[in-house]
Amino acid sequence: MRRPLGAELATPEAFFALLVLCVNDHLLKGSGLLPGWLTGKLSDFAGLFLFPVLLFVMLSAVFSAKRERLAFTAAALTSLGFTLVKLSPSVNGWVSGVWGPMRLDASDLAALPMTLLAGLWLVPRRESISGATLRAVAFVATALACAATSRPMTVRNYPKWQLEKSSQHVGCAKIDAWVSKSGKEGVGINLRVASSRSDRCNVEILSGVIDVGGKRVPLPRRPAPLNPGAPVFVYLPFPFDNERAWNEGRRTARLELRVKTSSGGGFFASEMQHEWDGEAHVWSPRAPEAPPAPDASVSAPPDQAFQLEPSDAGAWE
Amino acid sequence: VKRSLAFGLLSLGCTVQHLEKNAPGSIAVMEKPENMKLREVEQQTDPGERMLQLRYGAMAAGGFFIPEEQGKSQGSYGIGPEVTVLYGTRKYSHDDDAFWLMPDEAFGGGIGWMALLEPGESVGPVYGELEYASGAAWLTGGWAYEIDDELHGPHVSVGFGPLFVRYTHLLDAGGLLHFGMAFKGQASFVWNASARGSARD
Repeated sequence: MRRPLGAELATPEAFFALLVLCVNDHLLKGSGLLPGWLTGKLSDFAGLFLFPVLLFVMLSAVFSAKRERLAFTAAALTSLGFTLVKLSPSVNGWVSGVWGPMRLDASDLAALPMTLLAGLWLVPRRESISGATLRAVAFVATALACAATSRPMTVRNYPKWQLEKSSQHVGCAKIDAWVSKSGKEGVGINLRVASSRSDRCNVEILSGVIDVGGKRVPLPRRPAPLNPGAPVFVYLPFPFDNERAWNEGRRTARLELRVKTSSGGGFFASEMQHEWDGEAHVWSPRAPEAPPAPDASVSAPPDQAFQLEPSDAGAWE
Repeated sequence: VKRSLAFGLLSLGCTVQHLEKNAPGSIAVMEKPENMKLREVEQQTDPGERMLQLRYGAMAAGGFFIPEEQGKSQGSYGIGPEVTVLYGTRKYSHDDDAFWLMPDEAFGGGIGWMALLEPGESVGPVYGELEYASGAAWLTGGWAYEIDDELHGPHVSVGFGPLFVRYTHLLDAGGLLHFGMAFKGQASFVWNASARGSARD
């Protein structure tokens, strides 16, 4: 008598593997409840049991070969595919593009014996615990669980410079400043300059310097004069060897901008800290949110954006 | 004692120590941020990694002993500890979820001991070797020395992941051709690569 198709997926063992796969991929990964290496391996072990069973059901639907032959073919194909995906960058790249991100990690091959276990488990006939409808549901759920891999959960975390004081009034201008770029090549400061009066305020940034632990990094070029009615945004790059500063332990600095406005001049000044939370990675269980849509009413005119030639990049000293 | 020592260095686990050196990521400082109004530090790009790895554990292999004198080859196995130190590089930083940290490219050297060797009544040959690895593939070459019988000779192996093929030729005695598996743990010390194009790693 021909067995009902998909009976192997509607068994306690297959349901358990499906549960482990789903819970691990979509709840445990990134939750911090279990260590990352463990959640990484759990999916491999559950998936390498479940996928041969799914493949066996699909092969059974097409071929009428002996049960043993189909079981071990499914296990062998799964092992071969998984090994190639985990060891070959080109195969991994192709599969990741089609299937979703898959890590190239040889240690995941530790889970390969699960395919053999699945093959051995498939050989004897299994009693299905359900009827045709539930078997169909089990098939669809298993196929979806095997196809829907969880997205990568970690992003690299790097040190960042931060301003201690972000908002100041100079003459008729209100200047908000923040660090928009921070890396080995230097620091970039963004300014939002607005008039603090009802009428326009002419603003000119005459000079800028960041003193990094006693070493002065000048602003390579003055930005064009500003005449903000509505707020305008300016980018001030301070190129220097920030990697060297970090390695030498220079992790505090002072930003000074000399500003002239139509109602007097002054300085925008703030202390800066180069901060790192001490971990190389941060968990990012959710996809990063898209940046807010640009607000057309306050966008910076292109000619007021600070642009420099690459040759302007200053040296450390 | 010999047999106990042979299994003394088993995989004790894999540890990764992140060092602070070169910690900042890379940016294009002279280019404006994509979103001028976003009050956040832009995500830095990955500068890649450098690492020093200590790999330790047991090598277990079996195959044939092929005597130099005309004679039939016979079954053979060799099991013993091995310790390797590697300097490795990665174009992109590793994933902390990965249990095994594998450099894109690495070179270094190691020492090992075929403590349980069949055939043979001696303590088994010790060996020193240089190693080059590219991805999961690796190649070693060195020299083996059998203390009891004062035999020595070249020792080479080629591996992919934990699997390897090893040939040790003890001059005046014969060759050992083994296929085996490495059971190794690793302790890694990882730091960020320096700015692109800089030799200061």
